[in-house]
Parts: sequence; structure tokens; C-alpha cells
Amino acid sequence: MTANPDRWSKAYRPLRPRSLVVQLMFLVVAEIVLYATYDVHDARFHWATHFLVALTYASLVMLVRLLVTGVPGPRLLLPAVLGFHLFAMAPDLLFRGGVPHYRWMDVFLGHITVHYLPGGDGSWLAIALTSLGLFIGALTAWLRARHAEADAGLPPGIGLTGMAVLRPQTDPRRATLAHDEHGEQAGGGPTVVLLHGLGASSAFWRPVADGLGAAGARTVVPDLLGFGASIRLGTHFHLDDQAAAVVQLIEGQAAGPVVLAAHSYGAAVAVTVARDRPDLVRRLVLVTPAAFADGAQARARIGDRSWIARKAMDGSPVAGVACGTMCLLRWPLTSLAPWLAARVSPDIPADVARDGVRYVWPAYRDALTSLLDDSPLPAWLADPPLPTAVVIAEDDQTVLADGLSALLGPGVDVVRMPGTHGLPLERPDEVARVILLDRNTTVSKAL
Amino acid sequence: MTTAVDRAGRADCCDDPQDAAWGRLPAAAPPLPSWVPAAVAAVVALVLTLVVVLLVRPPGPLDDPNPADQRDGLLLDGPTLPAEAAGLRFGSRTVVVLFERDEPTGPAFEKWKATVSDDGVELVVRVGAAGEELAGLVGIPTPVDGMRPVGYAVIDASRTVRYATLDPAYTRNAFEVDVITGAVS
Repeated sequence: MTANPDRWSKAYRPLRPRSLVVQLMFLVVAEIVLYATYDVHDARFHWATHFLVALTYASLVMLVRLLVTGVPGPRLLLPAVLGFHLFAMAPDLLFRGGVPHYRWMDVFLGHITVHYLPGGDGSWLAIALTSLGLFIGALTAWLRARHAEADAGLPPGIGLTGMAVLRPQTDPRRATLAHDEHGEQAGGGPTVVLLHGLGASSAFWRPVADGLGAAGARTVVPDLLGFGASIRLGTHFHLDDQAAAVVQLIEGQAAGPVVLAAHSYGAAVAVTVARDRPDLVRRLVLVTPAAFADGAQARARIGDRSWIARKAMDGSPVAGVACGTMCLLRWPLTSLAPWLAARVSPDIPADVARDGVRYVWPAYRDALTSLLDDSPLPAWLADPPLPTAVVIAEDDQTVLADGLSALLGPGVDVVRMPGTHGLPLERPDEVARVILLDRNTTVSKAL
Repeated sequence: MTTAVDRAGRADCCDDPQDAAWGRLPAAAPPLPSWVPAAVAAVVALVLTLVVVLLVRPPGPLDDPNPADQRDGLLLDGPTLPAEAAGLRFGSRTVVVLFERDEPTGPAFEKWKATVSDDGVELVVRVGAAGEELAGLVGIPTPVDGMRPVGYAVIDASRTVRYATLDPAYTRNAFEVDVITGAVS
């Protein structure tokens, strides 16, 4: 496991006590000067109104920022209030330069209209203190959560949004991945564990798991850390973390080595599990694994399929903001996604569409970056130490069939099927049959 | 679906010191105790309340009952005056009419007068009842005490009232009159 203290210290920068004291002194002195400039002209209530409006906006912006990015900011928290104040009073500065007020000057945080609020500065005081209270409440909860995580020996949940802003994440060493179980163990066959891909959950495997259950296989389908119902589990989401959580699940759920089947990004997790704990894995089945020759190819292929993935791989903060906004709107989006999917892609089951928006940004980001330069897949596929089957979708536009074929060594069982990257949804019965294959059974016989 | 299962009782959980080390790294805990923001916010709330209550005074007897309307700096497109009204001729230049309760005197007024009228603006002073008719025409507000106004109006060269405000401390704010007359001249 690799911790990332750089990311923590960056996120904590706005909260350094010494810096905050200096900022507070600067803000107080600046506001006293501004107050004096209004007092000279017997216009103190103007100072108060615009300061209180600025405090309201600054508090709300910082609140939204905290909720959307999971990180307090900006770096200069308190001068931001001064910045808002100077913006709000800009028409007064223009007036001193010879420009009277006009109605359009309401663009400066409602410079004209704010004076007409019933109750005047008393009302603005109440509004400003309420906004400040909301931000401080969220910030306090965020601090408590991060302290609790540190006390538990977890890395802090920096950048986690949704409920993680207000409450600490659960330690994945003390909890098991949320999972579905299908079927009963029959005839002493191995348990099958199915790992989902990026932006998905156990729901993605449900049609296959139903087929496996009907065939007498006991199947366990987890939601990986930060995805689906495991969204409140863990604060760090690299391959090693995901693999450790899967190992823990297998140890708790299976009597012997399992058949580990995985889709897309899940294949990287599965290979990490098999590499670290070969004693737990009897056979790997990798369905359209997200395996690429190198980072550049991974960037090109994945980026071509998803705007948000492309931004994330480029390290753009836009992706984090977009994802954080989605997390903030998760509740309505989980209702909206199945409705939208039914109209745009009727083949996608409602629960798959719903879980398509149930993940935290760091889990998504770390999953993507793990496929770029440190993916264990190419090395494993070239010479697998354990029995490994790869299912290739001939029309896959994310992992091109030819590109994937070129990575496969002679020790890999290869199954080609017509279909796209979402093969387990498109051909659940065929995929289930490949998963149930014994090493001695030929592919053609099974299918 | 089995949701994430609490395994707090698991004996071998977190025994590996390497595994449990992350949160104990010096940088892992936030640099600020979680009670500090609330404490600072409470002090800020107290100070702001005191500032608003004590320093930002309520309107005085000569002020506009609605503080927002006093010296709002907003150009009006007010009523158009007749070419001749209340003994004054309008229409050839910008006129500033000062309404006062007593005859203004003293160096502060002289300085204000010089500033207001130094760019070709005509200044007219109406004291007490003499300003009553004009005050009604330009629509200057009635102060809190319900008596005659202390303030001024600006009428542009096309006889339109562009500004009318109470300002009991007008001698401190000559630049405001200049801004308005500069914008309408």
C-alpha cells in the first residue's frame, strides 16, 4: 500500500493555524480600513450590508466547494471573504471614481437590490450568520470525520464527497465488502467470485450470477471499495486496497480457492488478488479485461469512450468537480438514471443504470490511473502463473479485440464472442458457461 | 444484497503494524482541532452582531425612513418640471436645489457650495417654507420626523429630475453631488 501524504498536506493547507491567524488579522485590518472609508461619508450601513452579503456568498461558495470536492478551500479562506466584499462594493468604488449607480450594477452580488431587503442589515446579519453556520457545521463535520479516520489508522478521506464529507468512512479492514450471494454450494464445486468494472457494481453481474446459481454454483458478487453499496467503505482505492478487500471477502466467504471472474477494470483487481494470494484462486476468468499494451494506449482507448475518464486521466480538476457535483445530486440522479437509460439504452437494466452514479470520485480516479502505468494485466496475460481464461468481445470499442489478443500468451485460454464491452449484460448465459468451464473442457464443447 | 458488514470483532484485524500505520502518519490528521471553526465562528457572530447593533445606527430624525433610499447613488428618470416653477427657470443647464431648514452658513457650506457649482452647475438654496413647492415637484422624501427635508435634488438641462435625496450631512458629501451632476450634464 502506498500512502499519499502530499495530497493530504495540500488539502489541509487552508486549515493551517498559523496561516489562518495571519489571514484573520489581514481580513480584520482590511475591513477596518474599508469601514473607515464608508464612515467618512456617513454611509456605515452600506459597509455592513455589502460585508454581510459578501460573507453570505463566501460561506455558501465554500460550503458548495466542500460538498462538491470533499476538500476545504480555497487556500486563502479568509481573504476570500474580502475578495467577495470588494466585488460586492465595486459600484461604490466606481462611484468614488465618478460613475453613478445603475440597475445593472446588481451583477455585483445584487449591489442595488440588497439594500431593499425588509429588515435591512438585521436581516442580512441573520442570513449571513445562517450561511456561515452551515459552512462551519459542514467543515466541523469534515474535520471530525478526518480525525476519526486518522485515529482508526486509516488514511484521511480527502476528496470523498456525499456522506463522507460529514461522516468518517468505515475501515475496510474491519468490514467486509457489500456483496450479493447467489445459489448454494452444490457438489463441492468452487465458489465463484465476480468483480465488476469501472463505474459499475455487483448489479452488472446479476444476469450472469443468476445463470451460475441455476447451474449449481455458489456465487459471491461484491461491490468494490467506493462503488455501489460499498461506497462508505475505505478512503484509499488503489489496486492493492481493492485486492486486500477482495482477499478479505474470499477468506470470509469461501472454504477453498475460488474461481475469480472479473470484467474490465475488475480484471486488474482480480490479477492483483491472484498475484498476492495464489492460494485463494483456483482459476481466473477475465471478461473484456481492461488490458492495454501501455499507458498511452490505455489513455487513447478509455479517453475515446468517456469524457470524464479522459479528463480524469489528464489530471484535470474539471473531472473531479463534475463527479463531485454528481455525488451531490446522487439522490435525484439514482432515480433519474434508470429512466434515462430506459430511453437511451433499453438493454441496460435499471439497477445497473442506477449504480452507474453510485461511486466516489477517488475510487473512480484511482481505478482509472491504475490502468495507465502500473497495471499488472499485461505481464499476467503474457505468462499467467494460474489458469486464466480471457473472454474477448469482437465488437468491443474500449478494449479492441486485436489489441487484447496481441497481449495474450500461449498459456491463456481464449474465448471470442460477438458483442461489445458490456458482454456480461449482452450474453450472460455464454459468459456463465465460460466461467463454469473446467480446465479440461474445451471451449467449443462448453459453448 | 449484504451491505458492508462490520467486522469489529475480527481478532486478526489491523494487528499488522505496517497495515495500521497510515492514519498515524504525522500528516494524516487535520492540522486543526474540529472545535476551532465553531469557536471562531461564534466570536465572529458576536462581533458582527455588536457592529451591526452598535455602529450601524438606525435612521436619525432627519434621515429617510427607508435608509436604502437615502443617497442611493442611483440616477432617476424622474418627473419633468415645467420650464418655470417655484420662481426658477429650468431647461438651460443642470440645477442643484438644496433644501435646508435654516440658512446654511460657515466654511463647510462654502466649501460644499464651491465644489458643487464649480463646473457650471447652478446651485439654488431653498430654506424652510420657501422650498415647500419645489420639494413637492421634485419628489424629495419626508424625513423621519415628518418635518421639512434637508437634502438636495438634481434637475438636468432637459428639466428631468435625476436625483432627489435626503442628506442631513450633505456638506461631507460634496463629491456625491459632483458625481451626479457630472453624469447628467
